[in-house]
Amino acid sequence: MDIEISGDGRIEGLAAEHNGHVNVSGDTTINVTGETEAAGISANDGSSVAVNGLSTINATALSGDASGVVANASSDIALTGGGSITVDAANGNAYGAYAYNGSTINAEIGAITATSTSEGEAVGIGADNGSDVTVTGLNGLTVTANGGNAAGLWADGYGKISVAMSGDISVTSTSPVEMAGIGVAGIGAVANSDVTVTGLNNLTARGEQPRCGRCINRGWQHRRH
Amino acid sequence: MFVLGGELNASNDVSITADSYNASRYTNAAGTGSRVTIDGDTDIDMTGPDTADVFGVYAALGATVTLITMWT
Repeated sequence: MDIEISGDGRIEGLAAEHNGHVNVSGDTTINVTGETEAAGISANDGSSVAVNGLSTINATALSGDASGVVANASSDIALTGGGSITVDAANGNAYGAYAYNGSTINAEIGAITATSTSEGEAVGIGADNGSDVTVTGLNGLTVTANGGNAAGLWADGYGKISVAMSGDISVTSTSPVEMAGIGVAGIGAVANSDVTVTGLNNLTARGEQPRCGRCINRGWQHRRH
Repeated sequence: MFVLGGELNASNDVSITADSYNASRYTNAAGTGSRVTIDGDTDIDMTGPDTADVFGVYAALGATVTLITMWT
């Protein structure tokens, strides 16, 4: 099954809301492009989405937030297939897979790439407010923020993340903003949360010095003038 | 490694390298009840500016982070 959608507003590939349930079997590719927001798979308000055979999710927001997989408000998402998730957000936040408010994500995912190209944070995998995210088969996680903070894995408020992987985690922000003491975190857990990672090879966390216009024009790394 | 009121355990071949400025911290456990456990061949590389903190691994306010190598 190929799902390809683009348009104004928030664009979602597979979505379930208000106790809705979506089940898909077979090789599944999802490409979504939203003028303001984009989500490859979304479950909200007691809903569930199950995809047995996920191949690819590409979610692009031209001016807003973009999520590969997002579950909110006691919702559940289950994925098999070991596909890849690529998220690009311009002028917004980029999230690979994120569960909020008592939700769960249980997924076989081969690779996650989340990029906020300007003015936004980027997170690879997140669990917030009692949510639970389990990812298996992950070969690599790459997170880049070009105008905000960045985290590879981030759990908050009794959130729980479990990742079984065999590759690297790379997290970069080209202009981290001091917020609650965190600019860039490879792996972060706060407020009674729990993160467990098995098989991680290299963890790279990189925060770059924001460059002023003078440095950009000259191709310099930032220096004091 | 930076520990403030928490607990940090590292064993085996944990390699941490930092091309860091003042604000960079490698592995952090802050606040009572916070724990970071690293077991195995994990390389943590860090680079940070002096405008924001950069953490390889961060646990605070009663949170726990555990990294486990899958031995082959």
